[in-house]
Amino acid sequence: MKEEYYTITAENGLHARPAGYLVKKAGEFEAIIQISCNGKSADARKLFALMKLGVKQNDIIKITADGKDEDSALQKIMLFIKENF
Amino acid sequence: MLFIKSKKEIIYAPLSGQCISLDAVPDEAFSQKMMGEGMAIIPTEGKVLAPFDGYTSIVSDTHHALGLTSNKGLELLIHVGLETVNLNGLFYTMRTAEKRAFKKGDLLLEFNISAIQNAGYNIVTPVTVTNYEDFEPLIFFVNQSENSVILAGDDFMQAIKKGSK
Repeated sequence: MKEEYYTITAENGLHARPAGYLVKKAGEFEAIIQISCNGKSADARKLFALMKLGVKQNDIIKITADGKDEDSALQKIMLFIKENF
Repeated sequence: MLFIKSKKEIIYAPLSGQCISLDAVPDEAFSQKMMGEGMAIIPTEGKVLAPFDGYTSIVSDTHHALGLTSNKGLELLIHVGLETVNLNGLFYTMRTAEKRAFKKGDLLLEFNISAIQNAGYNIVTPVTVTNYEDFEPLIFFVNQSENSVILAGDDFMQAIKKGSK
């Protein structure tokens, strides 16, 4: 399992719409992508779970990838997160 | 006789208005089904009523979106207007709170349609099943292509849990 950290810069945090984009992206990998924030974790392929994290601007999230393609998955998901959130 | 509890779920219309296909929603997050499968309603009345018996999983801080979970485990997102996160709750009055149980028909949210439109936002309200992968393809009770008019509380969509036929 691989992990990275990121501080959310997007003004509205991880609200409905960006969470939807993340779900789509996370579905592209074989590895399971998990997002953790404020002591809670969510499967990045589950929209409700992601939204329930209530991620706000300046929150630090932990991103983990676990599976065959975890190295490239984490790299690509980090790139996506940095560009969008 | 063996009694098997039905896994069939009816989603009643949460709003009154005109039904349109998600494909016709001018926001790719919805039209490309990133937010789930479902339908959109162009509301004619600024009220969201509970579409089934369940509880609130997500009440967005900005009051423009609700995530509802039915007692049978279906997850429904109701996103009132497009890009309306930017209104920061203005023109929305939340009538529920997070993790609160509700019955079909309960008033959950009120909003001012004309004020939201005058502020420059599209009021179209996508209603999507976010965990649609757990269900057989949704059955719609309204004809999306004819932009049917629906009243809150009318039969809207039906979902059947996979593997329960």
